[in-house]
Amino acid sequence: MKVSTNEFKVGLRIIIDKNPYTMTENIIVKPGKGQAFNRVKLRNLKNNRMVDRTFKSGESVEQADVLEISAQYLYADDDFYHFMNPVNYEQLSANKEIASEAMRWVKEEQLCDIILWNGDPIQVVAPNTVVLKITQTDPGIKGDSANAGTKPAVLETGTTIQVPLFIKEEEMVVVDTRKQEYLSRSKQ
Amino acid sequence: MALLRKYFAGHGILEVITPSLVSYDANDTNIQSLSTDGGYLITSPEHEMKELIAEHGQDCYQIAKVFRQESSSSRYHLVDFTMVEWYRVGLNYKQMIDHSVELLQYVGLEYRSQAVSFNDLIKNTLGVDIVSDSLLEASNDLGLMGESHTNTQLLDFLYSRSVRNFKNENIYVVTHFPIHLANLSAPDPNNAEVCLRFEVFVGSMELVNGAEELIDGQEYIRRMSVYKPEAIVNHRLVEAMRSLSLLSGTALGFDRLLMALYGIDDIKELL
Repeated sequence: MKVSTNEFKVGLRIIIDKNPYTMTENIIVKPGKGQAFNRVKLRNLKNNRMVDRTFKSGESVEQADVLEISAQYLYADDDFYHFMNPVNYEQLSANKEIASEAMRWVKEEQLCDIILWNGDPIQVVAPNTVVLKITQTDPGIKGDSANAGTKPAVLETGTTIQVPLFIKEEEMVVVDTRKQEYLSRSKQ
Repeated sequence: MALLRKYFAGHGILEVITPSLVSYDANDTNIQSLSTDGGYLITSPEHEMKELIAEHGQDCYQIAKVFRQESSSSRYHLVDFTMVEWYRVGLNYKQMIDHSVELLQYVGLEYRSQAVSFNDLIKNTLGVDIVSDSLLEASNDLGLMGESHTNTQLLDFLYSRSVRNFKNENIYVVTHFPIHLANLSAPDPNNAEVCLRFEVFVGSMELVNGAEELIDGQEYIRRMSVYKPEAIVNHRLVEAMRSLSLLSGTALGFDRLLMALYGIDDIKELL
């Protein structure tokens, strides 16, 4: 389905060179008495790279059939991570290449955002913060390491982060998945 | 506004008022008029002022409301805006440029000015030579999407990219436009590819469009048939051109002048 520049706005999903993009900026420019253009910034939904493009005002582009849903992580096998959409119980699989970065922070039953293009998952996004258990860490001894006041700890998903020295094994902590950092102890 | 009038009075330029409702539609390819039962609203007072000058041969200016169809989301455009337009008999291209810059500095834009030709501007900022490089390739490399483009559209695109580099608090004069973008400016007698049109920018905002004016009626008709064949040719203008000799004219967007003077980002804030 085609969409014209009149309908351009932030958040619109379109296809360029067979790839899905989301629009992050749309500015109209019109050089003195000349043709008007839409200057847009786009993010490639498959690899997250930003590009700049310009369209003559009035031109049309293919709209991308992109959907964002919330799905619960079930389990992983050799090639895929499997999720379930809690609204309709539909199962989706995202291949390891796309999902592995996000999955460093996700444990079973955790809800994630999944971006679907033409029905296929192309991106998995972990929630901004997650609560995870520390499965392994040494008891903290002050003055022991190069990082003042922190030590490495392994989360139940297998990922290692730095935590304060007072954190012990079996404790639940809140992690910022974007900064990939310990935020606080969890009250759970 | 008072400063503008003082400037014109000081130069002996007469203020005039010409009709806003006319019988022809916008002669520029990318400008569409608003129409009503009685005709069309002016997109600029140019034709009427030239007809006046053809009759009485005197310098004149006008502060006119003009109307152009616009998309609602542009920061620098309004459908209904104020144009200050003036004509000086006997002034040539270079004189008119100096005079226009002087006016801007007089009303408060006291920045240093520099002039660059259209071709040099595109070459210096984008590394593209309009004369010898492929406009289409250059435009695609710079992110222009879409399939069929006219040369005029490609020139518009490259031009709009290159002015992005202009720095605030500076006045830039772009001279010697390609003949495809001439509108009603005179062709350059020394180079048929180029015309005597100029634009003045403050930072990357275009404030002024001026020219040494075309006075050849047949050339006007020819240009209309090439660049906007569906528009109505104004034969009163053709007739008026017969009585015109050396004439230069300039149009200044008054709303944008206010934006430049007061650091306003979006023209809608003036409403």
